Amino acid sequence: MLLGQFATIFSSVSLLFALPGILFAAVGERLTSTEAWTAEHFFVATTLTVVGVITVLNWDSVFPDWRDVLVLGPLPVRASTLFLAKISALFAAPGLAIVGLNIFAGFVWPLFFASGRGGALGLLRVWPAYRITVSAAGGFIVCSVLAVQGIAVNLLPRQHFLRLSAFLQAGFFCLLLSLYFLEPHLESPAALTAPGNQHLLAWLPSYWFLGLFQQLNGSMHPAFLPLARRAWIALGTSVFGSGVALLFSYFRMMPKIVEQPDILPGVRGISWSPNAGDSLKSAITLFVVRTLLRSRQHTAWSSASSLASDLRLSWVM
Amino acid sequence: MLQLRNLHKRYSGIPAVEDVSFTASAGEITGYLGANGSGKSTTMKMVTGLIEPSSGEILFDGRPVRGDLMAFRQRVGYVPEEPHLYTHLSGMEYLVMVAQLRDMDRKSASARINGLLRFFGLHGDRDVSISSYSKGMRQKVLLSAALMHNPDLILLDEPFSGLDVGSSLILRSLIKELATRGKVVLFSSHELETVERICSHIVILHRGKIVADDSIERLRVLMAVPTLEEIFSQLAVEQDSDSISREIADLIDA
Repeated sequence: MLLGQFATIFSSVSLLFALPGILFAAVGERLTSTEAWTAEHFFVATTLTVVGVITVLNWDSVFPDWRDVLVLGPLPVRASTLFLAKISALFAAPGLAIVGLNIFAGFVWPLFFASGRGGALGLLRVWPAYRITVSAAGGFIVCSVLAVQGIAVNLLPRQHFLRLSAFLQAGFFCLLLSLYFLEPHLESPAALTAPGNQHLLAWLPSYWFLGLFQQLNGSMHPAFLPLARRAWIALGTSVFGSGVALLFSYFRMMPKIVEQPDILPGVRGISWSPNAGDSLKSAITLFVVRTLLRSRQHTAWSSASSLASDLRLSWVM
Repeated sequence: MLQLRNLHKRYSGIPAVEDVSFTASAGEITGYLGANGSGKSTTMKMVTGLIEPSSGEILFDGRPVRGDLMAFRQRVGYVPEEPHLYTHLSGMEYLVMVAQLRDMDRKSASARINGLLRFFGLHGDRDVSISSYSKGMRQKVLLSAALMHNPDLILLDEPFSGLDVGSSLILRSLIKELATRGKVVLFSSHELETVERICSHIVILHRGKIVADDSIERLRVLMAVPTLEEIFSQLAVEQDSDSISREIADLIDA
């Protein structure tokens, strides 16, 4: 049912995105190359961001936790089965987002993105090129998040990882939304070829996959070649990195989860007793501060709120 | 028959379980007792294969359990100490999931699940999310999951925790009935009165080592004390409970 709700939301959004395209088609409008690239970039960036946010929100679902091990461990279920089930579940929501977001928009808008060859051949090429590009972009961001998590889990002791995890999650969340709303518009031949923008383009994944789409679509401006190459390298690296990190994590982590003692030695932090007037106010102040510092949900929400304020401020300015 | 032979478990060199050896036979109920942190749950987890022993071996019906862990787990029903469940599932959904993971026949699984839910008084709440269940209700779900596939070896870690009187009486009788039907039952509990009533054989663990492995009757005679509580106090309790309780009362009175 939840997946059904997800699918409905994303399909509705896709229909909204498709409406301008339908209107353009109805009045016989054609897009210039810059306008087409802008639209292509928009869909790639939106897919990247939405899929990335969903993956980050599922942060805790990647690895088996104490409950998974204790519920499923005593059952005749192999660790490899658990691993594959978790990975499948992990890709289900992002996969649904990619399909849902592009189900209507991904049919209508590619009509405007068809390569210069035009005709039926151009259309036959543009649709799979578009679908491959958005899938690759989504896959890249999912695998990148998994790779970072996997590396952190393998390098850090479990307790340190759990503490750092909240900040990594919040960091990814902020990074994804910042990039989406604040990245510059460089979808013109001049901007793409300007030497001053090359360093920036090298760090913006949405432009890499824009380049990939251009390569697959056969409509290759020379400025896209290095970007397309970067997309392939990034995709390959993220898939390989996440695969290795996850495999290591699963088969090292599961025994560690079960064997960790019920109570780990605590670290005595700085003793701080704020004086906020009376004991009730002092207790509330101390509780609020500790919660914000230690609670994963509160850390994520306060990061999101700060980001929203920063974005509002940058728009105003 | 379940045999533990020279079982050791160390965490970073610190022994949690040291040279534990005992046998739990079919048809008898073995009580596994010890204070918190004595190594009972660690032993249970080693028997289920969740944890690998540092050394020693565990045999079931003469075969090492780690030789074919999947086959062994098909024959084991385990109720852990903490009721870890997928709380977003309903009781029925959880039990159906376990039945499917055990590759049980659909018809017989359905009959057993419904029967167990009815006997444990959960049938009316079977479609309610486990997150709404009380501790006792969750314990009943765990018991149902552990018993539905008719296991040969039943491991119960604090099974009476959270159960009301009626359910405790049912479980007590059930454990006896299962043993009568040839199951191997190993259960740990802090409820010494219950252990005394139903166990024919007890093993007492203190700081990871076995300090007693015998029938309750023999231990009473050997130690010349009338109750299991006194046996346990002498062997496994280090604190002077009267003195501590006086100190606590003095502290809060001050």
